[in-house]
Amino acid sequence: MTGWKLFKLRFMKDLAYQRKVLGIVIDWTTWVYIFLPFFIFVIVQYVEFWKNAAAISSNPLIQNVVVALLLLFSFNGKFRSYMQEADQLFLFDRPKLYRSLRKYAFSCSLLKNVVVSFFVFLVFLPWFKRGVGLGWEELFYLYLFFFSLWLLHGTAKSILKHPLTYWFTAIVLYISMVLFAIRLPLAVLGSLGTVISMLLLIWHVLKLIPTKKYFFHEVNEENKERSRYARMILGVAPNVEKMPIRLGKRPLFLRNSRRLFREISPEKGLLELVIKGFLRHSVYLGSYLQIIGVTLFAILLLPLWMKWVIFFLFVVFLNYNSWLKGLYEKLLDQYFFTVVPIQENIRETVGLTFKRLLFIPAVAVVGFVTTLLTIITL
Amino acid sequence: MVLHCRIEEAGYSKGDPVLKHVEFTIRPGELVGLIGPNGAGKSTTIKSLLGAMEHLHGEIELEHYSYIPERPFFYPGLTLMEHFHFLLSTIDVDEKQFMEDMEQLLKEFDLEKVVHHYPDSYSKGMQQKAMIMLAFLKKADIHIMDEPFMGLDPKVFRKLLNRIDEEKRRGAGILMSTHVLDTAEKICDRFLLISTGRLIADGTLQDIREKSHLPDGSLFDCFHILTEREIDDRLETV
Repeated sequence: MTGWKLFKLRFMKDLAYQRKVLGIVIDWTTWVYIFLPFFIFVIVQYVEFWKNAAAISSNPLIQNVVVALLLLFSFNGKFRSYMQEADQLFLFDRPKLYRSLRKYAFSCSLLKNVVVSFFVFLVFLPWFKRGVGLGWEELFYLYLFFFSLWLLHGTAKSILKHPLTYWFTAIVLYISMVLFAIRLPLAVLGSLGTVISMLLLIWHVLKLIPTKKYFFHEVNEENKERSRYARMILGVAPNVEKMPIRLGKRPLFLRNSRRLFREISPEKGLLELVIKGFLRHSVYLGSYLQIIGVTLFAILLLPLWMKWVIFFLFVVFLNYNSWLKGLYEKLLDQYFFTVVPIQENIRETVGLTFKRLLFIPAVAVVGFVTTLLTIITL
Repeated sequence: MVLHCRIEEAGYSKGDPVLKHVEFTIRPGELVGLIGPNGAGKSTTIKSLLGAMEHLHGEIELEHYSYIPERPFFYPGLTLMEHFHFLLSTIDVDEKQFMEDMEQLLKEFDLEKVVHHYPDSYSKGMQQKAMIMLAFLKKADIHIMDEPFMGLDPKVFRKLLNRIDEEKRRGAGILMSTHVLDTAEKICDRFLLISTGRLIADGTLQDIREKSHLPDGSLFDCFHILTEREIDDRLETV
């Protein structure tokens, strides 16, 4: 087995897998009736954009905003390693094959980065060319700079394991590069972009391709990449329970495990557990805030009498609908309670208090806004 | 007596029992090893004791127990300290004493620095240590331990053995399911040998040796003889 053959095998397998996943939700009717008309629409709009781009305002403020927007797309930069967990058994002791596979994976990612970043740049091109009046040479400099940030983000993603460290670095990089783009002449940006890209490429070839240092992080990233469409489909499926997002090893809220209640009793203990469990579960908290947010939005838009209908429906939904009850049951549906069991009567008592704790603030906020809007309308 | 178990039949679905005719008792201060081959029914026995089996015919007398599962379970979104706070709220103990014991255990098991972290972020061994801590802090009448040595380094292994000894002296009964037979041989007062869902031996090492006709045999050898014999008997019956 050569590196090229192994890479080709993994690449084709990945492609086939993603096709299979997308095939679950996208069939030929979707292609014919949605995607095809959409592509034609996009092409027509793009041609129109070329024709009318000269008329679009291009004052310095707008130029800066558009450049910042363009550079924002560089967050899409990524390098795939095509590493698998079993490689620690079968590839680690074959350094030549390991390097060769990674070399092809890197080359493929680089090519993909060039193509995708070029297409993104192409979207902005009419405005830069006809609106701002940049020449082809200047556009090339701008693209080089944009591409260098694209590569910087891709590299940061490959080596920074902790999500907070990655996001902090990515944002610092982005802000610095936007400031450079606004202040420096295009020729300097082009040179800077070339130097950054060259240095990154040399670093990848000499250091990152042969190393095993980031292996487990790369396997995690590969797993995420492999399941990206599956996660996307499950993410929009209403019946699928979403996993909470947790940043770091410690909670952001009550970092030092501070107690919420002084009194120690089974009721207070369980109540504290479900409150903390709820507030640290991004999906449950998000759903609760979403219900309030959507209701407030509807109340804001609808006529006066409808505002109150919505308010009462909201109260009924929270109070009599099983949503809060279901939420509480989900919070208690954990194997942990086989280790520290809870009594049924305590479960029920705490359930009522927990529901009240979520019900009262939600109704108070929505009721206050409804009353305020009623007074303003009258 | 801190535990009496009489299982006529237990299983995951009706009419398909995993366990049949399993009966045993554990007395205060007694350490009993629950041993048997993979898939013999050890975990099902433990689940039956905890009341977690859907189909169970029999009688379980068990109160104020602690449980160390084979795979650690934590409440998502709680730090280890918050797990201790929750445990404290569910048991009737002096808070000051509980906190002192907790500090002592944290130091002993080297988890002081990560007590405000989510246990999900721990290594497997650290999670096991956290589970053991939760069990010992409960000061239960009986500890039910499913493979408690799994993932522990030799140092912590030793500390766990010392703690088990302390708990025995306190008067707590211990039922320990394990595959670490050489350790079990040294520390257990009695053994329950389960094979293909049946209790094929219940007694001290001496009783087990007599039953397997190996007067000086190790628990490992006796285990092998008894389980093989049980399978042969079963095949002959079929």
